[in-house]
Amino acid sequence: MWEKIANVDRRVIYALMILVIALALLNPIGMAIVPSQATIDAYNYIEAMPNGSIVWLGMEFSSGGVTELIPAAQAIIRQGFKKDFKFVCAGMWQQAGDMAEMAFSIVEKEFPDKQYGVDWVNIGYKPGGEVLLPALINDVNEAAKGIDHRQNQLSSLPLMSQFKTIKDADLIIIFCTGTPGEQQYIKHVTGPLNIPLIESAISVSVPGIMPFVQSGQIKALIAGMKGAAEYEALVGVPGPAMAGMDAQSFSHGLILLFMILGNIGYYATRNKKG
Amino acid sequence: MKKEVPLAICFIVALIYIVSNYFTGVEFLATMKDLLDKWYLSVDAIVVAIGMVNLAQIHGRRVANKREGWLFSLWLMLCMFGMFFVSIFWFKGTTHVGWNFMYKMIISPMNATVYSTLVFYIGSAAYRSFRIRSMEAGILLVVAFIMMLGRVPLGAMLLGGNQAFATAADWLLRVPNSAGMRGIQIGAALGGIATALRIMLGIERGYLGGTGE
Amino acid sequence: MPETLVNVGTHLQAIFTILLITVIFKDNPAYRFAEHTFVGLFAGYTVALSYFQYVRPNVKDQLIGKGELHWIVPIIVGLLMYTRYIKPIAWLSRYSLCFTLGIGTGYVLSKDMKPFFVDQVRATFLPLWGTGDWWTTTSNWIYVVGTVTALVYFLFTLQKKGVQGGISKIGRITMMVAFGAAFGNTVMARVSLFLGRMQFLLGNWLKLISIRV
Repeated sequence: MWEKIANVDRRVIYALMILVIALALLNPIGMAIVPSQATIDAYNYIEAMPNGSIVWLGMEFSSGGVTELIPAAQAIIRQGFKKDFKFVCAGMWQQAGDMAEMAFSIVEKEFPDKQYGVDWVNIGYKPGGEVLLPALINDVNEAAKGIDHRQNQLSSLPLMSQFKTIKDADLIIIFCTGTPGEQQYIKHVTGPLNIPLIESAISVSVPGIMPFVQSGQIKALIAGMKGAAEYEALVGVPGPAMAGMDAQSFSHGLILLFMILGNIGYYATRNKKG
Repeated sequence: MKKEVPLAICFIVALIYIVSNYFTGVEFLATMKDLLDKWYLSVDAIVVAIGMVNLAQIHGRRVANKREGWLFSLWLMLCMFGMFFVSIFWFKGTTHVGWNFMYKMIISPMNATVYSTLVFYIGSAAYRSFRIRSMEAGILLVVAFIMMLGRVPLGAMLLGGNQAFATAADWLLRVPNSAGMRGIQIGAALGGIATALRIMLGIERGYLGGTGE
Repeated sequence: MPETLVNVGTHLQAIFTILLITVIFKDNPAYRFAEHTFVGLFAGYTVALSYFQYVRPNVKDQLIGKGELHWIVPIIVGLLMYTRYIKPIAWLSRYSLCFTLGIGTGYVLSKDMKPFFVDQVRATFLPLWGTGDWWTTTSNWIYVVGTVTALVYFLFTLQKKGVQGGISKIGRITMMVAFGAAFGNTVMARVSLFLGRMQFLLGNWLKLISIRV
């Protein structure tokens, strides 16, 4: 029996994981989501910004980060538009423009009075990696080659008359899955220019980001899907992150169970062999 | 001409950046740096297609030699050149409905799905490899255990609403994890700086290889 | 996007999602078809996007429109990268490579020291007594000792014996806590990826749940 426990076929584990996630999504039990201090700090920081602030949204991720980062982005957009924030988005990642469009897809329905070009602009992806950031400090229009993600001339968008360089941002919020990401912003923009930086990152990056949070180089961190779910709860509009936390819980439980079983099997069979 | 000039370019360009960073009042240096930044953006935009050329070379050879799976290679090239030429000559921009369809309905979800299969491998790896064979492995497992329970509502549910796992996970992240990561990151930063210096001075030349001679 | 296109797209997306996931059970032709489709489309998308977002306005508006002739330089430098594929002149690609590396190393040498070394060291100077709270004091001690010992672990020029060996061991334990935290968080990230695809399949496609992604 111990051999069996120590050698469960990997396909059984895969099938169980699919089953657990599907069941948790189909029959959610609605586990309580208690916002952590880190997420509350991020929420309060944004809430304390003056109405009408210009916020830079760095969309530094691709489709792989959608589940964890888009809910956080949408919750921040909801909070920001209630405070009449103006958003300017761009990114060093190729899918940045499309990610911003995805995040702002809620605007038409929820904030019909907010207009593209006046209340928000999506500059989209621009090449250059981290070199893009110093170029944005010099001149946004030049770095973006004068066009946004929707191929409009930036000079034709009213918001851009107030936003000539990234220095004009009152707050920088970035959504990151890796490099280029927070380190490039800290190095080129938020450090030298002393602009506050808030980050929403996928869970896998969180441990590596903590030293920058401790040093104050990042003012607040929305950590992964848990952070996104907590932010949704704080903003008061439940979304996909909150809906997914049950499935997260059960799949974590399943993996933990297999870790325990694996160890029990290992010790039982090792002693036998010994 | 083949080695010395490129190395000299690397040295001079790097030097402009370093000097302009420390002598901020010199307008010539600042202008040069800004111009180089702008040029870099253009160079980067142009070299993006190198991935496409690489794929065409590898898969073109497979098709030409009719190696195993050559039909898949042919399909890949059809998709690649098809997407590129249709975008350039028909969609003509990112606002076209066809472009949006291809991105939102095909490319983006496929991209997410490719990454999503990782969950199965991490689940299987946790079961097969996460064995307590030493004290260090034990610490790793216990921390992972607390983290996995503390970062989801399950931890609180198991303790009848008590947030002990979440508090412990938060502390582990903020204190010992952050300390360990900082040690690693300071080491990596110093390593990066040393490597950059070696490249700038032409001591590290490995990257020049692969181009003959 | 028109309703019909959304419907067609949803079905296509679902089919490709399922095909890509089948690989976890066994490598199969259906998966390979989906995989090659994705790689091909994504490569074409990437290059076309770069053209729309940068190359086209750069050439059309700035080089031709405004007659800013200096843009010829980065275009030539960028194109030189492609000489890697023509053996007799492959060495020319070194010019392009060295230009980009020069900028990269210039930025590392001029910008990395402060945020990733000085600021990190400064942030580690935490009060070790007199904080007024024993738990904060303990955490600070763990933080400082953890960071320093993790750094000592990477001193490979010293033998890991005696005091040095003991300090290294504490550093290794600190890093094990960090890796345990990293593992716990990685599980959440990987589950999230798959969760997103399941929310699509059960929500957008089969309409069994109310969530739409």
